[in-house]
Amino acid sequence: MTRFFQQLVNGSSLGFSYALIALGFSLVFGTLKVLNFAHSNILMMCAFVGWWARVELGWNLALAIMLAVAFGAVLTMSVDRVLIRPVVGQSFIAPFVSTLGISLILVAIAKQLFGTDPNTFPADFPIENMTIGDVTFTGIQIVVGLTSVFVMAGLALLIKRTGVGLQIRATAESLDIARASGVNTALVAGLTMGLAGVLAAIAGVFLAISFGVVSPFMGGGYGLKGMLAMIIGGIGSLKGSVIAGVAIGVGEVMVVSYVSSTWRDAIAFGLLIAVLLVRPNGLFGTGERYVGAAV
Amino acid sequence: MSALLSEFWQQIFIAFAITAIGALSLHVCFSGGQFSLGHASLIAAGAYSAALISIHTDVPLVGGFAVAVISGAVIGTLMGLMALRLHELYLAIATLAFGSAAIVVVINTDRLGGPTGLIGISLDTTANLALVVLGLVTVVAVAIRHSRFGRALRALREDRRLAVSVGVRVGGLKVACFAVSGAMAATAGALSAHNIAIVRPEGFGMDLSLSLWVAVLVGGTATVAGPILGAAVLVLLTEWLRTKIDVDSLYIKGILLIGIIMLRPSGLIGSGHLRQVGGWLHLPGFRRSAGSMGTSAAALPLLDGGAR
Repeated sequence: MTRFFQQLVNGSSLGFSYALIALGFSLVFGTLKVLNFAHSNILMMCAFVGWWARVELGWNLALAIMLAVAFGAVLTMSVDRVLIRPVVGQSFIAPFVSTLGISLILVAIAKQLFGTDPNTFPADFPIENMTIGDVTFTGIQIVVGLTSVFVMAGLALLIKRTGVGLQIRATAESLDIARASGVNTALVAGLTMGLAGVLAAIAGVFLAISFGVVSPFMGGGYGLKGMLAMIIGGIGSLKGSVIAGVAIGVGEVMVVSYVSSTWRDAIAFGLLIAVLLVRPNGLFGTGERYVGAAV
Repeated sequence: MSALLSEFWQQIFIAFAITAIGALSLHVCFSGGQFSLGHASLIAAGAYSAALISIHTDVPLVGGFAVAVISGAVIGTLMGLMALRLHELYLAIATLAFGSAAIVVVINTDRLGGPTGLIGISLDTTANLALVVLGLVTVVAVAIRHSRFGRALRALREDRRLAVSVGVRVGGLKVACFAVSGAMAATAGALSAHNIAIVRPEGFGMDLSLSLWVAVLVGGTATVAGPILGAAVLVLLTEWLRTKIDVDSLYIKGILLIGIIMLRPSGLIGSGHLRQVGGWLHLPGFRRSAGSMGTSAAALPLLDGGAR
């Protein structure tokens, strides 16, 4: 039983990172109806920025994360301004094409700047491990867990309780009506993209620390799991994204522990098929695909 | 072909044919509005089938290709089942996941060589064979376009509800579309397996699926000629240019994608261009005036409609 609970803790820690990625996709897709395919490689670049500040510049971890977060927000907003806004409205596929383009270029840039070999992200963590019963929480897991809960709660409060959140929800429901009612939709778009960048950066640095490596190729797999978590949870439901993300993380760690590590990357897909057979709109989806449509 | 080209250009041509076939299979799938990011798994189905037949039996090459086509259609059908529940970008994400899950299955299957792959496949792919297969697949793509099936696919892409209302059986059509597309893609896999004598699971990842899209989008999705031209541009730029200047092919693909969507969203060959060229050349079957096409759906530019 100890092993089970230990894996539950490990899986939740991984799952929180997936949930953060899924939230980034979900927020943008639910509000602006755009799939930012570059989200995964923005995450990868942010992880490199965090690694660079931590290892090359010798900054402390909190500062390195903050730099990565600022970089993520700026990069995502730039991608939105330069590559998404100009092609939005052509078709659902156009923003996918332009963000896929920049996504490939980001990988090429990372390969050129940092090389193709994985770089070690030191796990010298300022927080002691904690043991409850026989289950150990590593310092990394404690920080990842607390930060994720804090960020998710903050996001929920922002969207449900503030004026800005109301504007985001209005834009999500109908961009045109929101604009006609005096919502500054350009501002909402920028803000939403910026928030997604912040989420990508946090997730990227956490995953890099948890596994101890950063690599130009780390983005794709994480991005796919984030997108799957968004669909499994139900488009428009931020709660669904979080639960599905954690479920994928726990599922993967359990499979690695009890079956074989080689099956790990099939878990998210298996969950997707299983959920869609029972609930075609995802766990919490209602068929209405905007942020706030489903609680 | 083999007599005309140097060894280097034969390899480039084979790479082009493989990419073009993959792009054509995507074109057929997307002509029905089905947005797949998992076509690498269909190519893998063809490659692994051809490899197994070549390694374990004495069946002639044609037999290997036939088995590849069947297994491509089977895997395509499995993928198509997802289209019954998912549309547009949701389907794209699910097929992307299907592709990576397929690799996981291959890695865990000893008969398929696991993570190391299969070796010892006969080296039978020549530029001539590639040309023949590409020719056949092109003929199939054109035939589909002018068939009842192809018109139903375009109706499905333009307006699903309207298609249902005029008697198109949407569910079966979607699955059939993936099955046909899978059969086409599998021939590219078989060519590739017999070209390098080895198949490895990592050769059929997300990168391959996305590269096929680069070819389709650059060439244009509205015509059969589009994906072929796109494949030629992509392979020339990535394979040939790379031998001249040292540049990462990811830069080339990324710039191609952004360039095409910003400057020419419907691709190099738009829906009207072939008719214009045909009209100038006074080719039979081409009229100069627009709007005289038999199927009006063919004239609709793809990128403003999309699947629903």
